[in-house]
Amino acid sequence: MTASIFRAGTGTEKLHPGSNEISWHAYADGVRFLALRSLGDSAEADDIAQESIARAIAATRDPDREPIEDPAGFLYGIARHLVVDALRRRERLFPIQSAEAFPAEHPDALKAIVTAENHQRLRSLLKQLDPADRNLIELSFVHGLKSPEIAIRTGETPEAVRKRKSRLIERLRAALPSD
Amino acid sequence: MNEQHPNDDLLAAYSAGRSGADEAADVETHLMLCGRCRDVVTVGMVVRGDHARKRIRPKQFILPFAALAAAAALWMRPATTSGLERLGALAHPPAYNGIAVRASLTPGDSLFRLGMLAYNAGRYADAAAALQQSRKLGADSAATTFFIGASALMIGANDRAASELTRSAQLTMSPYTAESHYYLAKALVRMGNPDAAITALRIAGASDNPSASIALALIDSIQRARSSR
Repeated sequence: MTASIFRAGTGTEKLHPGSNEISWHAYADGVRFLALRSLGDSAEADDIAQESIARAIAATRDPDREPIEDPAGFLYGIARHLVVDALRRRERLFPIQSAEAFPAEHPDALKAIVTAENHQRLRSLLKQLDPADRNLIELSFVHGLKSPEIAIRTGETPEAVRKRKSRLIERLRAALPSD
Repeated sequence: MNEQHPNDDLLAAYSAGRSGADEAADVETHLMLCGRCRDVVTVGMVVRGDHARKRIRPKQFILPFAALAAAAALWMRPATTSGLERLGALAHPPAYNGIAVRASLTPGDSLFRLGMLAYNAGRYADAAAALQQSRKLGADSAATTFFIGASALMIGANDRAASELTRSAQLTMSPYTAESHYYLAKALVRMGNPDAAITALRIAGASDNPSASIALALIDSIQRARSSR
């Protein structure tokens, strides 16, 4: 696992043993989200978020340990293993993961992550989209097509698709309460 | 768009299960600290859920007798409890080992292969559509039926999953018979029909398949969930 090529906010600084442990808690919502996405169960996701942070704090306190170069990647690895362990306990047949990423999305994840009210609000917004915008959103989020691939289908320039997609995503995202 | 965030194309591809493992790991590491991008992924989940509901229409499929019976039983059942609903959850899709069954590929076989690529990539609605088409073109193998059912199960199209898995379970000389009963039970639990699920699990539990012990354990869990209601 290499350090993420993306950065966000604080908490990605190198941590030494004895340094500010509160930084780990900045990751709690994110770890919970990823665990919920793979497990679809709020209580298990809470447990995994707490356990991941507790293990990270313990590692930070270990005086014999090398400084943690990539806190986000370190915590990510802990959380991913805990999720795989939870899936193994649940089904007993879950295969050993060779991939770097979290296990695939759980079918019940949507219900666990989005409140019924926000779900309904987003669905209403989707229904209000004109057919071209709805098509763009589905090509992106259902089929995983990138802007240049969509541009070939719609006859627009890739830049026009990118801008339209960005505007639509912001509009839909606004239906969710901000952190 | 802040250059420190993954771009929208990458977030959408990740949401759709189309990013590579390394890209997905980078996105997920970012998601640990970024509420904005978590919201974008959440939007993607709602879009895909909405799309799956539109796309899968059970009335388009001919239901075999057993599935009709299960559907009829569903009409008479009260709403499920959350405990039973949890027992219908799947931690991982049924595995596909990718064994080729023919030396030369027919068009139906090619579509089957495409469907299974989509399945292994986690695009279950696409997989179901391709496998359905492959069956129309003659690739009507036990694997086709089983994985149409498995794909339907993964996107929550439970009635369709029950229909296909019932058909799969009835096939003789199929390597998927025991698994079909097991996953049929999952669909039936989700549909609020634990009695029918237990019947299917007893058949799965009586097999030599590695899933037999899990099937028997699931019977216990269903019975416990029902008694705690």
